[in-house]
Amino acid sequence: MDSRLVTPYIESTVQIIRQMTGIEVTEISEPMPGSGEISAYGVTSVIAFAGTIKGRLLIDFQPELAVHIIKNLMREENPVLRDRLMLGCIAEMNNIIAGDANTLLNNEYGLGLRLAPPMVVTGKNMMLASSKVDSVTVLGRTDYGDFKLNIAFQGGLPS
Amino acid sequence: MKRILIVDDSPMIHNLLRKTLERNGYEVCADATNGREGVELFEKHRPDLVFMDITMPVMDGIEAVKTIKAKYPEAKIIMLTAMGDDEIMTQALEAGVEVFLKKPFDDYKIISAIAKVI
Repeated sequence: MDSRLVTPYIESTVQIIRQMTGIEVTEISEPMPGSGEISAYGVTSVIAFAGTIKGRLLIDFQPELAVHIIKNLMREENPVLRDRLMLGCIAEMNNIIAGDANTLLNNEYGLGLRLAPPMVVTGKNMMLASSKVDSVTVLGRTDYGDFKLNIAFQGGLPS
Repeated sequence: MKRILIVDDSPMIHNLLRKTLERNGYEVCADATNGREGVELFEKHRPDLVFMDITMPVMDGIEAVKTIKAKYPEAKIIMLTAMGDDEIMTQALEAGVEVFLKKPFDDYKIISAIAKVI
């Protein structure tokens, strides 16, 4: 996949997690081609967007990392992951990350990407299957746990 | 005490923004989770200021701003949104928002924006 479509989501994820929670991403992998199946860590948010091309961003956190994110965001000592407000934090974070990356892509390439409302699912070892679209997976690490990004696009940028 | 209406479909934003506003001496007079509810609550409460998201179900924020401004041109609205590209910013400013803010926010960003408007 064109790195111009991938890099903004990686950079926005690192920056927004830091800005909103104070948590540093200590390692980030190179993008790897997606297989159409994602084995979830446990707290997964998906947001779709469309403009001249269509895409979606999936962010999947290990539950212990999701708990820390929510603790830092909401100043909640013991967040319960099945609580709607707590899961809403994960969804909103995905919304802000996707919005940030889309803003850059829209200003740079005129894609007119607009976000759909995000969704969050929880459950360890879930297998998430997607239709055959071009996607990449990026693995990330923090001191509180790991996460993965899956970035998919239908259509591309002009060469 | 200045009264503020929050219009956003995210419970987290309502929670965090309310805490920020109350910490800084403002009263949140009502919460709406979509643009249509935002318009209804504006008419009911006539707040001093509105914080309005863009991407919401039922009625989006740009449409809500236009609806409010058509009837209440003196209404003061700050757009607070995840999307900040040039096109959407232009749409928002043309609809009549006073200030356009991109999420995420902190106390300083919110209070500085309010100071510009009311």
